[in-house]
Amino acid sequence: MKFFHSHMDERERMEMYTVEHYFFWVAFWGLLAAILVQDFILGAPFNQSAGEWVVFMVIAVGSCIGYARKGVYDGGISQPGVKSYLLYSGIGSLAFSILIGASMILRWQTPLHIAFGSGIVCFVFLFVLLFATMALLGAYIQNRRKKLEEKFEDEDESDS
Amino acid sequence: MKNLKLKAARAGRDLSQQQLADAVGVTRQTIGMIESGNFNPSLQLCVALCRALGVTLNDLFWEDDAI
Repeated sequence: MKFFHSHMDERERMEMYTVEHYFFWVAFWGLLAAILVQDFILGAPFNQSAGEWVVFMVIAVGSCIGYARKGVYDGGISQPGVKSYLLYSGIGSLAFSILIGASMILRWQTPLHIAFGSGIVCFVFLFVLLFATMALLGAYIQNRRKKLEEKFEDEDESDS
Repeated sequence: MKNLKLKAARAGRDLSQQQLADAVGVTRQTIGMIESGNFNPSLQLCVALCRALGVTLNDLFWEDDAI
């Protein structure tokens, strides 16, 4: 038995989703920015931003799983493939390595050559990790797409 | 693009936007936005509008010179 009946029509629902969509991304990037500023610039201990990290990871991992299950890769910008994995892994690991290197110099006054070396090591490890994750995710998405296609295939077409 | 056919069909049956909205289960604002071309309804809503106005989808939504 339904206790609450929605009085929304499809336009109102669509507009609500549009508003939610915009503020979801504002919250997502705002939360990431807040975490990075706290951890890497202000030098706050991890337990101070642990809650934010948990929320952020739930959003990030949850969205990835949700998109993957529906066969959505990256909002239609590219298709799963080595070129795309290389690009995204490169961007992600480069951004994080620069952040690590910069925070070492700014927070701990680490000598430039050590910070640079650490950045490169960080880049390599992250790149491998991200590339492997992207490749697995891409393979899963392609598999899901195939399954969804089969599920909703026109019976007449599959006979011929 | 304004949907003048919907407006004409509604006026032809002497229905207000509110009456048509009530008949298909949406808000008056939604009917206004469809007529002014600010909202594209789903096929389900298009069919409901056609049934309420006693016309076909072609009568309301087909544009001969749209291509």
